[in-house]
Amino acid sequence: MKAEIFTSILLGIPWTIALTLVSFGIGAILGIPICAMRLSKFSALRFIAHLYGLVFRSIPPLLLVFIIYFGIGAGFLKIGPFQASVIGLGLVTAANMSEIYRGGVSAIHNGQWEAARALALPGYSRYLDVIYPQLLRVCLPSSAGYVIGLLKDSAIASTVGVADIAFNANQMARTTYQGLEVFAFAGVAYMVISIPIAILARIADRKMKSRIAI
Amino acid sequence: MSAIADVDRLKDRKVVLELSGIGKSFGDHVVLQDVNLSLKTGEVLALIGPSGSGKSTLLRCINFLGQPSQGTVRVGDVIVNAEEQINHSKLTDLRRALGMVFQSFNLFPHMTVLRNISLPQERVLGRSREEADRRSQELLRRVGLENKAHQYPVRCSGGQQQRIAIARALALDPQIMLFDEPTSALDPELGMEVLAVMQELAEGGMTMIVVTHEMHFAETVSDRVIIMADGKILEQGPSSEVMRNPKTERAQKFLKAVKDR
Amino acid sequence: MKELLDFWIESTPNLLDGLIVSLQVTAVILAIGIPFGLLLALGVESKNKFTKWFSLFAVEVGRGAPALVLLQFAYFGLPPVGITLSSFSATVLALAWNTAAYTSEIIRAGIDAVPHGEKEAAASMCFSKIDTLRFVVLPQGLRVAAPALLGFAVLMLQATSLSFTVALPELTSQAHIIGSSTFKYMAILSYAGIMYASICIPATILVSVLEKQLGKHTI
Repeated sequence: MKAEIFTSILLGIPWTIALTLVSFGIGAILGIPICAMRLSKFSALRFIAHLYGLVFRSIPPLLLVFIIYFGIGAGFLKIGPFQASVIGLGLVTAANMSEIYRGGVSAIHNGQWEAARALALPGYSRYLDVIYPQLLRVCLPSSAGYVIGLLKDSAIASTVGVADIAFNANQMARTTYQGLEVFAFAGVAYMVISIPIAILARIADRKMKSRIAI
Repeated sequence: MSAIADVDRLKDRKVVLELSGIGKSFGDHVVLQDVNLSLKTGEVLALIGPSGSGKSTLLRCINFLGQPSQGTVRVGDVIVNAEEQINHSKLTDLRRALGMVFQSFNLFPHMTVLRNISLPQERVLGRSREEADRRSQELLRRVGLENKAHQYPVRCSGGQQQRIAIARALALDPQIMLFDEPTSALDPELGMEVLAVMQELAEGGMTMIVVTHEMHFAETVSDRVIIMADGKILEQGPSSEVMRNPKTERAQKFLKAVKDR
Repeated sequence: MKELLDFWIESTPNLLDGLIVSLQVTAVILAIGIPFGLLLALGVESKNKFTKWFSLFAVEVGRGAPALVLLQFAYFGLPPVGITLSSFSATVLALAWNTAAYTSEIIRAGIDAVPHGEKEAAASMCFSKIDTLRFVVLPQGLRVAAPALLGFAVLMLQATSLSFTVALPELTSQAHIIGSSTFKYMAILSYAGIMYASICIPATILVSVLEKQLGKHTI
């Protein structure tokens, strides 16, 4: 019995990881233009970005996934549970990442921009060579923290049928009546997966610190 | 003023503070080594020396804000041995007899000035609110800030905040006042206000130990000066003597550097 | 368009019932979770080994496990060992635990923000530990933590949508029920979204205002 539970939880892990990585990928990339809009000199763009951030941090992710899966997905477009989940989580992630990026940009010392301008570095070089590397380093801890949170949020995908850890745990609990062990196991599985992420983040942080001292 | 410089005035006073064999180390790093010191009632002692000499650390060992690794501290009848299990009530007795003024003032920003001074009296000495407030106003008058009673610390200048901090420490009627570089965070003008209050305190007979870089204060207001370096007492003696005629080479170097700034 | 509005108007009573349940359960969760968060914040720094390890365990599990798993644990996982909770109680148990774990870290950060020198001043004046907490540390520490705690409260309101899976008749659940009987999922779910947003957006704006205000008064 225990072995069954163990295997079913294990089988859910790849899905959980896939959900987390794809959602984060979508959100981390989408967050960049949104942050850029947020910092733009055009107030219309700033407003849209600000609104996006407010809206996608004020609707429960679960509801958003439902809207995409049952609302949009059942109608004209055919959106599967995995796609609906990562799109929903991705949109929320983008809202949060744009805030993290914004915080990172403001944390970069004014002097950096001034020096870049004084040296007459061309626009792209200013961003690519001076700002971006420092931005990465500054945003890494918050991003890592966010990924760990996203890992847990990915469990909502189970409600629309993605066979992740939470989904399998639910199935197992119904069939074996050993709910206690099943969910305890599932909880431990999530905690265990988050450990390598935290360690990787720390290693990456240290590596970057040694090359760029802020 | 001349009474201060007259060392004989302390001839028949009792010894109120005794430090024996005080040592402190952080792992392998030895910050204080076998420091012995005694202080008489009404005596004003200045502790000077280069950075890292351990003078602030020594001061903080007296009220056990920094735990000494070895040695004993005696204040009046209370003796605390660093190497024994520290009895909590004895520590409280020790600290009640000592008032401390910090370099960064450390006033409580979320309370008015009056409350900063009254609250400790209420909570530590059990005074009633009226009694405590009366005493607080008295002390504020003494340091020249009675009009600041209902302001918040953030609205006061650094010099004012430090004078309020002195009033707060005095409110608990300590036997000895400890000053940890009280003017180092203040510009010269504001520092003068604070030094004036400290001088008045000294002239009124308070027993004081002052860790400071203010050489003029050390020479004119204190009775005795101790120069520390590398965690040990280098020289000590009557202030005018030590400041004008240092005997060791290290002390001479230090004082010359200070005077030539 | 008129159809949509009519549909919305029709469904409003049911959705409002759901919203009230969501708000009620959130209030109970916060009322229980935040005080426990304070206790855990103090507990993890305790010198008593038992208190420390118990608090650490409560925080790490409360934070480390997904809220959904904690919920399902409370509702489906406890009956086999004899503890059967209603969906409301299970939601409160699981999410209050979650709240306590997260807010303990927020409060700890607030307490750390109180300058060390003030704690020293209190110690040098013989303040008892409790008095130091009560008069010096907590008034300032909680003020620093307030915006983050409010932000967390907003997230907790959203988290209650998860209790849809344990049959709590909150807002998301009501919306889904109407959706599954009328098949007008898009319409009803977006309406529910608007309801959530109408509370969470102003609250989020309030949090930023609070944060800026706090910044102004820093010493």
